[in-house]
Amino acid sequence: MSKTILVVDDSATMVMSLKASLEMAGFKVETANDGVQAVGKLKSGVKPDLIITDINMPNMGGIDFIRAARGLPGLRFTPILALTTESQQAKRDEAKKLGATGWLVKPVGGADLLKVIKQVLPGA
Amino acid sequence: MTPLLQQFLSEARDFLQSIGEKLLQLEDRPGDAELITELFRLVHTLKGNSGLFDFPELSGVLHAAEDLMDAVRDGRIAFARGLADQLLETMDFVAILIEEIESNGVYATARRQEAQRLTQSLRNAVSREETAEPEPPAADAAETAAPTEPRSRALAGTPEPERMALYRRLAAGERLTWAAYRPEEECFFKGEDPLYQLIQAPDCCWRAVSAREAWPAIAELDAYRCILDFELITTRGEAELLEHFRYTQDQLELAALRPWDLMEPVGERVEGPALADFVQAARERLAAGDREGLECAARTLLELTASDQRVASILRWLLLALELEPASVETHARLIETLAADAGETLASHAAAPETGAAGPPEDPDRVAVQRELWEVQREILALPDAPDWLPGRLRAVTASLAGLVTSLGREELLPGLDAASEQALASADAAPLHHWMETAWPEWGPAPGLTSGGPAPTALTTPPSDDEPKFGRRAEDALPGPRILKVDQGKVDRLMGLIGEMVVAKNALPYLAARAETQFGAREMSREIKAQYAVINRIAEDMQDAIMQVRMTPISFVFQRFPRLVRDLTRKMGKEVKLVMEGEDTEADKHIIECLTDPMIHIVRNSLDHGLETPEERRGAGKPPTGKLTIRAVQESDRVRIEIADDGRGIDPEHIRRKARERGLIDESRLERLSDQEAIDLVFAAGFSTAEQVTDLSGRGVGMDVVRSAIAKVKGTIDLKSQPGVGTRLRLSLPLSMAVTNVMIIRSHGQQFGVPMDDVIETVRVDSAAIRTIKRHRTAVLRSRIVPLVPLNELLGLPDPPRPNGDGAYATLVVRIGKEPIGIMVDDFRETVDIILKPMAGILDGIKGYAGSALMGDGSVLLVLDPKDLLS
Repeated sequence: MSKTILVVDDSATMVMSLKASLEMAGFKVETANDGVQAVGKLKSGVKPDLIITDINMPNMGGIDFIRAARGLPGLRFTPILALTTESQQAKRDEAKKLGATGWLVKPVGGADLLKVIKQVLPGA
Repeated sequence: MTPLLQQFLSEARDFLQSIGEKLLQLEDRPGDAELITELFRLVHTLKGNSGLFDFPELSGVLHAAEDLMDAVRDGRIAFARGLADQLLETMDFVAILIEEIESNGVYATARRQEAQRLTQSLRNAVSREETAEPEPPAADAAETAAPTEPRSRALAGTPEPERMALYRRLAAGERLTWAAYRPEEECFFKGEDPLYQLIQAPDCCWRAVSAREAWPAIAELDAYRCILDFELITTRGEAELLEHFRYTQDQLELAALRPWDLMEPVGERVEGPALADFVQAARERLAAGDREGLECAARTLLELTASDQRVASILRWLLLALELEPASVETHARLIETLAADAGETLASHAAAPETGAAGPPEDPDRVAVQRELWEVQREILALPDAPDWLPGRLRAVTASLAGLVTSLGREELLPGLDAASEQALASADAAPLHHWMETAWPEWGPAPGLTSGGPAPTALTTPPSDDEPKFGRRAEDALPGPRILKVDQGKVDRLMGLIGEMVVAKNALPYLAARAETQFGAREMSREIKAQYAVINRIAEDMQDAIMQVRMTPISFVFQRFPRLVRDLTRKMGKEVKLVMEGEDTEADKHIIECLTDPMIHIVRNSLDHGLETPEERRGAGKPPTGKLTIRAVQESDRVRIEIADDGRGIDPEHIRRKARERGLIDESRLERLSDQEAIDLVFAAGFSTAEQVTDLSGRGVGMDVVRSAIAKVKGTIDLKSQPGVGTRLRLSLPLSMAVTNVMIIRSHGQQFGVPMDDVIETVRVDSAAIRTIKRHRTAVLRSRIVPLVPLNELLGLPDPPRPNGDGAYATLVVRIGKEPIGIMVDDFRETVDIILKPMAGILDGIKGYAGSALMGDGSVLLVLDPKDLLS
């Protein structure tokens, strides 16, 4: 059974790129454009095995989204990776404190991405 | 071009647009933190996206811009005009790169230098303002945490032979790394899986798990709190381990494994007089470098000592060290000193360990509650509605838990029944038999109303077991927030537009068909039915057309959005101060019209800034506030859009215009005398008129207001100019909302049919031949107490026939407005008005004057549509 990954990013380009890489690796991919939409998806029954979220987004940013997601039933243990850039050490720490499992550094290449996913997603 | 690149480019353009807008807004509200954050986000995302492609210069420039914005956001740099200029320039540059990538797939190599220059200047802007760069090298932090004395209880607890094997590897020159991973207690809530992490760690030769603290009583045990410590030894280096534990580096302790870390002596402490002697002798031999003597003495003592004693352990290590690392005097000395320390201790304190062990779990009052809870949990597990692949495993696990529970309750007699139920359940791959067993074996613990324990309930499903609906069933997706916007290629909409046009024409054939059915075939009934059907199709077609037109509607902000930047740049260049006010940006009109509006409007705004608005000094001199005001306003009025561009500048001086017109010879002296001020002002629309005293690089581009007017007229718009010297100028554009369908009146002349756009027609009248006067060889008539010149259409079209009056001797006359003046066009007859899709003349017909285009009629004939303005000019 293929695992589902929820990709949250306001940039359609980034979403498209991640989606393509992940789908090629056999994952099922759900997407959302910001935190609000992502929470909506989670509430409407999307149950991802892993969440990858951008940090800087309109409406609801990644930090708030991680906080919100951790508060939802059934998502307490779901790995969450924050998409950051190399300059965002502070954001990483903040995300980590709020319950992010780890982070990815943009731009995320296909091989790196899968390696990291393998690290946080048992059985992937 | 890949779809991804296409997506990137299209998105980048949107981003650049927003960035430009935000930068301008920021100039008005320099301290607006929200705006700065948003701006940073945009630049940041754009940069992030650019990294997906191999455009190093693009990414580099954006990265520098991002850093600058980051510094602004953190308050390290104050946002100033200079910065805005720099960022705007950068975004312009990025826009150029984007354009070039779009058209060529790459940007010109010459851009590199420019990129370098921009990047450098952005970087300079950051470092200039900023003194200390707080960039803690993150990776080094763990490195510098100097390895201290180990530390590892778990390692000490590992059997000696195992440790010795590791020591052999070390002594053989292998590099081993020891790591302790102490996950946070809350780690499970961050989606971490420490055990998995440990198992995945590469090339481990030793692993250990230990509890950080004593395990609490089962009732207090919080299964969601991690109190485990993990340790491992691997052949991999520290860097690789750091990479593996990249998300939990702060919880990781690393050290190169040293021999000493392994040499933890084990065993009972027993003191003997021989030990003190040995220590004395060993120290002397070590100091003398007599390794063989030391080895011999150690071997002798080891033979005399029981092997489970601590002394024996130390001696074994000493012998091994002497064998493997004969040169490592320090290690040997350390081992000897350990022995010495042992020798100094007179108290054999070996009573510590075993005494606390055997007490057994006391009869806990919570115990029953815990048992009951366990029971309930098993029931819930059995009640889970799904049937995964691992159902047998689940059933076995439940059976095992229940068996343990039954045993702990002292009811072993129930076990055979449980076994039987389990067998049955496994055979049928169904939880029901086990469930049934639970109900009957322990009826007093039947379906619980709720859990009695206050302990941490493992995600309690307190719902009835059967037909349990999954809690988070997929609901309608439309509950999702966010605007539902579809980006569609314009070509597709145009195609749809073309099709509906054909549909409108095709449906127009039905009335002809109805007429033919009646007149030619005498089928009146049929004719009526066709007409009824036509009414239905007509309505649907009109709705459809309306709907598609809505799709094409574009907000006028498409044009307006570039003005803030334009005004800012131009006024800066000219040393003027202008406040731009825009209203009604969300007014919509057909995309085509909006697009046609762009250039004329830019020209008008440039004119206003260049000629209309004065410099602050001039304004002060005229008693006006130094900052000028430029208002651009759009409103919808029934089926037209009205746009007003007004400034409070110096206005247009009619005398000045008259003088210019005379100089250019645009108009003859006598007429000039008679011109009213308004008429004089309207002369700016005359071809070849340019009022600029000197050609500036702004508006003097060889394009006059005449071009503006004809561009507006092309989309059936009108332009109106009002000005008052010293007070200001106001230009008013009026445009149709849409021009997809044209309403034309069909007229006949010289035996042919023509269409005339209804927009141009003021009224249709029949002028009695007696009422026609000839003034200066022009036919005229008085209509609504105005003298209106009359022109026969045949004459305009160069057709030989004179206009034909009707039976009453009256001429059918179409009154049209050209400029301000009404003119009557005499035709032979009027017909009905129809909606047509006007197709502009194409090919060799393109150059013919006087025609707006052609249209296909319902009966298949072609209708030529006249352009009265063109005809009469």
